[in-house]
Amino acid sequence: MGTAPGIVVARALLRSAQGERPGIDVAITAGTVGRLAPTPEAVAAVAEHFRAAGFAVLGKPGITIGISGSKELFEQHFGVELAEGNDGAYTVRAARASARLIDPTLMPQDRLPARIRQAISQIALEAAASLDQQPGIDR
Amino acid sequence: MAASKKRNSKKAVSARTPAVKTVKTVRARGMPPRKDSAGFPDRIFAVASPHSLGGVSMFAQGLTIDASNVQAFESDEALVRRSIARLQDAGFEVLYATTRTINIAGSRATFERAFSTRLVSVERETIKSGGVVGMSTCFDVPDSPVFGLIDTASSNFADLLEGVAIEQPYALQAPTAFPPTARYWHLDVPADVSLGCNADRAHRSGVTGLGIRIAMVDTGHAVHPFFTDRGYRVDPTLLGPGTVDAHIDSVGHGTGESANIFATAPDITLLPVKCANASGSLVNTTAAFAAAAALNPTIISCSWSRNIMNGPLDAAANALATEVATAVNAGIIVCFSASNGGWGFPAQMPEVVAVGGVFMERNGAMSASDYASGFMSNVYPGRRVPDVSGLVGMRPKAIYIMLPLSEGASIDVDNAGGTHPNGDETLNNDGWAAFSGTSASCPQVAGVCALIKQACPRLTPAEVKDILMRTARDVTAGSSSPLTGLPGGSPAGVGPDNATGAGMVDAHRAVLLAKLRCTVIPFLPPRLPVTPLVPFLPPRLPVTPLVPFLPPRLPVTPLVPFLPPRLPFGPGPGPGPGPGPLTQGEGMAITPDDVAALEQMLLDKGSLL
Repeated sequence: MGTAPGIVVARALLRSAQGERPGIDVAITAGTVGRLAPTPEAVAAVAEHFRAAGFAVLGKPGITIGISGSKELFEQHFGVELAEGNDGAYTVRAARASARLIDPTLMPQDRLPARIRQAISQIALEAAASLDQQPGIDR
Repeated sequence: MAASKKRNSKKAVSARTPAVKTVKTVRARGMPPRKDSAGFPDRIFAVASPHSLGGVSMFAQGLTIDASNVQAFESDEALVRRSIARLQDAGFEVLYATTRTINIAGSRATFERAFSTRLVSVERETIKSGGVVGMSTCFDVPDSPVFGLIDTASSNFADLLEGVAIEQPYALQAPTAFPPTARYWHLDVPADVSLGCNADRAHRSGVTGLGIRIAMVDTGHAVHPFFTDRGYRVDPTLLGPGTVDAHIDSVGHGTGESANIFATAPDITLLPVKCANASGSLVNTTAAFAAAAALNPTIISCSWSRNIMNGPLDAAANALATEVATAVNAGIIVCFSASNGGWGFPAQMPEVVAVGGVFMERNGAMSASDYASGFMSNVYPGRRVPDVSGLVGMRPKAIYIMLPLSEGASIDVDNAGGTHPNGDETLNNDGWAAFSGTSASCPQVAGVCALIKQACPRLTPAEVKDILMRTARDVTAGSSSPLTGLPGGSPAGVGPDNATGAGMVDAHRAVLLAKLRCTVIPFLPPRLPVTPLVPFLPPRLPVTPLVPFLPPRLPVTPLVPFLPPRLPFGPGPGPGPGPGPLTQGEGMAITPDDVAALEQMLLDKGSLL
């Protein structure tokens, strides 16, 4: 069995064209997700920013933009220290004093250029999940 | 051959073996054995045989040992004890003993010194996990007439042992398409699960999921005769970020749970998307889900969850919620397991088909599974989880459905042996294991969604969910799993409840209703311009003008006008007395058998429609 290179995957959740933050200002549902679409310009700018920084952009960018890269690349770009759990999921272990850590899956954005920061609502690391053949507990 | 005979012999009589002091050793799974400078492992395993009472060695060439002659290879118990003692004095670990054989382990040097012999290593072809043929290192004695046999005649053990057979790598048991027998009440796939979900009758009416693609985001999918011998359609596995080896499912979860889909929808095409890393942990599930959605399947089935009891959602959950909502908005039906004792997310999302668990007894009686979650969401007010249920076992481990997986996969090993309900009483390398949880019920219901979509392709995800819930069989006994904050679980009762949602999924009734919906609600959108609706939107006009637009879409009038003989009985799509506005691809024609079944449904449950 082979092994995959240690990559970190995160997802940028963009603000809507009206500036709303999905899941914060507006509940995310099948009924609302259509109007939560960001502007094409914002999507293109955010995707290009991460590509230029060395991240791989996963799939077709839209309301969310998946990015992947090495742990070192994430740590350098966002100014954080990441920890890998036994479940293979990464969390933010420490952030710079200027970045508040309120959610271990949430990446601080204060190092991003202003126009990119304004286009993004949240950037989240992938969180661990449990198979539902076993008892459902937090890992 | 000799080793095989000894293994069977030992298994047959070990229960009445005199107690023997043994040394137990455990090596963590996955750790490679330590080797000496010559490449030999620090422990070589072997089976020693004390002299047989019958006077003939069990290692004699050309011998066949079976039940008729095995007594001749019994050994004197005192001789066995003396042999054990001398083997231990010689530095061997004695692992297990019977009145015929003694399992030992020792270093190469210990073997060579004790038996005045020399060991060599040989590379031989063996069958490894997954049926892969590869080379394995075996140990032999030069000039021995039987591979791996140590002749003890010229050693210090000549008076005790008639020979020692070095253990050789055994091929993992190649799985078969047939499940192993088990003595406790359990379900087999596809037959029992199909019957429990009332899918057999839908299948016989020609609704089998043909043409429907279901993506399953899970631990992967391994080749297994259960699938290949039945000709099930499985596309190559798509690797999610951070995963490798598309042909391997080291956990066995994705492979096994997919059998539940085929049980209810045997003709679907499965699109496996792998989100387990090399160690078996789920990773990057949101990215894997997004990759699945990009395949544009009809349905996505996910048998995993996060435990989220209260809001607000964290950033990762928001990201996943966005992908799920986007998929549903694009017309993809998304099924998630409700969890087993957790506050399952994203099952809590209102647009998801949240799947819970019902336990079916041998006599067909059904009750809420006390392994599956059932609750009112604290994140989405008014949202009940589950919507509907499939088949799930009971606590403590829900060992209930015998499912195929890679031989030696984690679940095959973890559930092996033991006594039900704590073990599945199967081998740890036979490619079958009994398990369930809402991991199992979710793909069952996903399969039923496929049947519904085949019967009426134009139904939206919300309409499919509505049909699932309206046609489910009410379950009134039992309680769902205890949860944090809900220690007693949720009791089942008459009507929809938090334990099983609308109840146990019923594929046959769901397909019938889907056909009816396709027939009585004309498919109009492509022909109707959108603009004429604008003048009727508020606030320009009062509410009342909307009424004229309702009848063509939602028949509020009694169903009687739609009952036979007024329903079209056409032979199917195409010319002839077909169903008016229906064309090929819009839905399946209602047959006379369907009409009879619908009449019975109306008699059974007048409020169905």
